[in-house]
Amino acid sequence: MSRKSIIVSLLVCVLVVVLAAIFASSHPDGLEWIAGKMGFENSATTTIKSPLPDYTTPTMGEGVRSTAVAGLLGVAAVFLGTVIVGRIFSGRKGRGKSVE
Amino acid sequence: MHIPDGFLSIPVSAASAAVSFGALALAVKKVQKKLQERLVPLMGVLAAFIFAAQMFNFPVAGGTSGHLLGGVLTAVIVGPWAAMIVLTCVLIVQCLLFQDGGLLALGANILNMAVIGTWCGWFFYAAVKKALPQKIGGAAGIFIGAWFSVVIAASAAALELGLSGTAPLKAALIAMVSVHAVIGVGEGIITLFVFSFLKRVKPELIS
Repeated sequence: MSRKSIIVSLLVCVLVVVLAAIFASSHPDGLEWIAGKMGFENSATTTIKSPLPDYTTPTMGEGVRSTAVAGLLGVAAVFLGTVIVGRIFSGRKGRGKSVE
Repeated sequence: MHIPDGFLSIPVSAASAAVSFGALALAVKKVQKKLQERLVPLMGVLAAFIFAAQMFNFPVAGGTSGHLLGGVLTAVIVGPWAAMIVLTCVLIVQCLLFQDGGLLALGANILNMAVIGTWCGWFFYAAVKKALPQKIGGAAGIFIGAWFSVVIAASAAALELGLSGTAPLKAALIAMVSVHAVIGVGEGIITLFVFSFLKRVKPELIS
């Protein structure tokens, strides 16, 4: 993949995140809906405190902008995380490896 | 269908995590063999896209919503082994940064969506593609594979809920399958749409 197509693809992801922040349905998803209907939704717990819970940026409250910022951070984290994981597993030595 | 913590028993969580771990270890080995460092940026872009698309919940009948899983979409581009790794990366970030899916349930979510969803979807995709004439086989396979990936992943989640004693197995299975049979249609449409778009603008990506 050329640098240009990586940048274009990531811009598409940014667009999808912004559109999702504006237009995504806030209805419960399939599993949440069933949990509510069958009465086990309240057994949900949280083990760790996430920095961007439920796709919101805590300092920005709730709303389109808060979700868009959270989503953009997510796109960056997922892209970088996957590339790092891919590099590790493809056997490529880390770039920052010091020469002894 | 990201399962939060509290829905699964410890044995079910542990067993799912163990199976996921084994499957991922195998995936890493398989991908490594033919990797293809050039595949890495593409996997990163796909993961970013799947993450973004998963934020886009679309409404389905009866006050529920669904979103893309992306297992089949990823698999038709980079193959099912690499797709498992891509989806797992998405699930880990969603769990850690966004509280979408529990930490203890992470193994189960990886198992359902990245392993079972991807592979079952891939299986149906390949079978339909082979069985039908070339002209329509690919598209039909993608739609049907995508549909099955969601429905079977949902069945696996229902099974885990049942085995955990959180919900009666049969009722959970019926409910999960019927809701996700509708969501799966959305998965099929989006997968087919994105695939056709990519095929037009970036045919070299799709081998």
